Amino acid sequence: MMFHRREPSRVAGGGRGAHRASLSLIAALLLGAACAAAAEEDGIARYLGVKTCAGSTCHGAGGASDSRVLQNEFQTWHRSDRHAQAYTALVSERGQRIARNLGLDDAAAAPQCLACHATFVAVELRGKRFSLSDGVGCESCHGPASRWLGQHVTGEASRADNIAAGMYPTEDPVRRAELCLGCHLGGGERFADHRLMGAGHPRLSFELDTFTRLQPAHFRVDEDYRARKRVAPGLRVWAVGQLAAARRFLELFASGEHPGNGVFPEFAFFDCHACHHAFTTPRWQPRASNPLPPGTPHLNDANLLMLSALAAGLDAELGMRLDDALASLHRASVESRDAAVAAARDLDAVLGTLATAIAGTALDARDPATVLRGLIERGLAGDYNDYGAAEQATMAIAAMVDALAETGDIDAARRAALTLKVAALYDATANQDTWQPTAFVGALGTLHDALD
Amino acid sequence: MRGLLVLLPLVVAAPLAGAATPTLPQDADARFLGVDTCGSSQCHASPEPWRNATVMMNERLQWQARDRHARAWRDLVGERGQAIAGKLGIDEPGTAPACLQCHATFVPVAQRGPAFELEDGVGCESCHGAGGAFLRTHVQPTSSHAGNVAAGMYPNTEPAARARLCLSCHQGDASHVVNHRLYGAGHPRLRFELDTYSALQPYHFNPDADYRRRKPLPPHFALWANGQVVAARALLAQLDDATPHGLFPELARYDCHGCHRPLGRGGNGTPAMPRLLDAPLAMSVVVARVIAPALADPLGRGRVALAAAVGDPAQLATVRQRLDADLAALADAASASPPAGSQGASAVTALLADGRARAPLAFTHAESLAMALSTLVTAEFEAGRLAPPAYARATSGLDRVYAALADEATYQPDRLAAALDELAAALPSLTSESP
Repeated sequence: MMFHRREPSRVAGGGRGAHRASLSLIAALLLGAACAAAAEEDGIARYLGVKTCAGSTCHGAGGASDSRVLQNEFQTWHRSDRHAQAYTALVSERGQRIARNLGLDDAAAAPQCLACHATFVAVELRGKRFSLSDGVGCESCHGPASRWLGQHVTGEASRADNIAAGMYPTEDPVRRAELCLGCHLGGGERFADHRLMGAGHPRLSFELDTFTRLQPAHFRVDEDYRARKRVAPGLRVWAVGQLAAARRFLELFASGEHPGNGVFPEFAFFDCHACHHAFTTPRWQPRASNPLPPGTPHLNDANLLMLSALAAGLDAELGMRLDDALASLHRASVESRDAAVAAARDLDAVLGTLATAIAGTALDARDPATVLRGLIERGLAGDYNDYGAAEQATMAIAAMVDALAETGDIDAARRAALTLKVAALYDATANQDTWQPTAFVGALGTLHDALD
Repeated sequence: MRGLLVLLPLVVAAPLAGAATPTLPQDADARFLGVDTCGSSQCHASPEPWRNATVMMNERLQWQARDRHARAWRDLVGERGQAIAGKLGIDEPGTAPACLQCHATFVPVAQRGPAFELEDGVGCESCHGAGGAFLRTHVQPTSSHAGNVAAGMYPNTEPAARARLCLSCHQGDASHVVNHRLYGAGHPRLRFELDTYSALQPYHFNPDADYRRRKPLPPHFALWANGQVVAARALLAQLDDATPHGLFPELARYDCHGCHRPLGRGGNGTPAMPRLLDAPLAMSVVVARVIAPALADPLGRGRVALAAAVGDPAQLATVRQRLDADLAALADAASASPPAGSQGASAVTALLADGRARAPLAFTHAESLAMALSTLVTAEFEAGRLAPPAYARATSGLDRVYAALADEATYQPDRLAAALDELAAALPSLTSESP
């Protein structure tokens, strides 16, 4: 005989007319009790599963609530957020094909796949309602709920209290970048190497601000949200995301944990499209940021090129130091592994200075405009003629236009006009195989003219 | 005593090596007299072929009008050549040694005669050797081909010697550097098959009875086979740069299309590691099946081992050494084996069997296979061993094979496989008898 616990939703089934505050209170009390039971008493942080968070009176409401939080977070995630399909992707035809190519029987049983396609935690840390098949669920990002769920549902705990109890501070762009990049770039056990790509895994592409918006957000940034959480401006989110990605990239490269295969280095560190393009008319062009001769694969410098534009916008001297260090890294990559590692460390030191500069500045209203112009000018000069760089520049420019609107620097009409030009950049970079740098530069020119 | 012991093998080995590998024309220690010297109107620049001569005497005009070697230097200073050079940081490709090595008869200034012009591109003496060494012998009424060769004319009638000469540029070697940097700057991809390219050059001689009295006419099979074995050994020699200098080894030694394919077509289980450009090794295995069957399996295993050794540099030296020894044995067998009419047919049969068994084929492998099949099947027809109706059917199959390889960017191995099936069906008389 099974012991069935009453679902909070059934208790709360008083109909739409019931007063929401009292419903929430009842639900909170009941859920609190239920979850206190679910949470083990040993103080170990356990993962309780999406079902635990997604009660209809908690985060599983059918529609947006006018309370402090939307309450329909589960629905947004489940319907619109691709993280919800992360596990399903493993059991899809494509996922299984990739697994076969890697010599794995079942992607959904392979730790190397689950590490990013599910809330993959040790079995003893999984609560009763936890299911791997939920994919990248609530606790993948917000942290194991067992130690904070109780205080969270009563509504008495502050954001700081929850964080102190183990909730992850996703609103902090530095921590958010760390979290997202853990999979969207890799680190530790997680690393999308070239073997995985060769087996058919899509190329990784990430920009923190854009991806946060596209996820889509399951929260509404309003007054009471701001009262509870510090909201970083778009420029900062973008900058922090780029810095975190570039520094993590350099660290992964320099660590030696991914040495490659035989005479070849780990290809995942290199610009994909430097090699992966069809034989067409010769494409190589000299580039200010890259001193390497034609026919030379180069380290993926897309994030570094974005940071170059940022640094130059903030501090011309720092911008030049970054550019020199980047050129040195490229040069060192054709000398020796040791030289390349040393150059990567030097470059990281410059990025450290940039990180300090960003942390200590308000990144005020002037900066998105400066960075935007810098990005456009460098793009027009041909600096983003690699697909990866063009892709990052497109997302960066879109983020800067949003940032300008956020700071009130441009009004809604102007934003709409510029967004139309940004759409042309997205169009120009829509297909990594057939994109034409000239079309991208053309779209940049149109945007440049629109800014004047 | 010690000195003697060291010297002795050298003394013994030197004449043998000299006989096996004649000095390439460009390395000759003699004067190069220039195209104008050979191609005067009294000699090889007659507007019309002579009726009563042993040679056509209009060779210069043939070369000038139809042979792309004549344009080799002009290609350097054309729009494309300038663009490639510019990307390599070379201002004047027409005077740059790196380009001239293959785009002209590039010899030291002191060895250039008064009529010598670099602008003549790949001219007479690029292939036939320094005129200064043999001209006097050559113009004698009593001159013989053997006498000319003894005086320094390059022995192009020897398949292995011709293969070494052509491949020195068409594949590259230590002094004719073909690297990925050159490709990245826009130089076309190199592609070569000795028998096909000899015919397409085109030949500027008529292999009639008096030609054959003077020189041996190498059989098509011998040209194809030697071309592949020499190319395979040249590849092994080039693998010295397979060790990374920076983070990468020399990429020109690897199959172009392994990496150069759009990502949209990824995910079909293609290996994530570059493959060596080893089509000549695959072809050499087939050569062995025809003339030295005992070497075929060791060579096949060697090819697999070499591919694996790319990922394991510690193994590379051993694998290379063993493979080169097998290829040397095959080269010896190739020069020792008397020409036999059945060799071409046996090779076609073996090529078709191998190509169909190994599908899907890498593009460069498929390309080598297509050129081999085309040239050997045509040779069977020319020799009267393939009847016109059968040849017509085979031609349609060959056309489909070539059509499947017309565009490397959209190459579909399945289409090639179907074309190979059609060709095999069209050649039952050849393919029924296994080599």
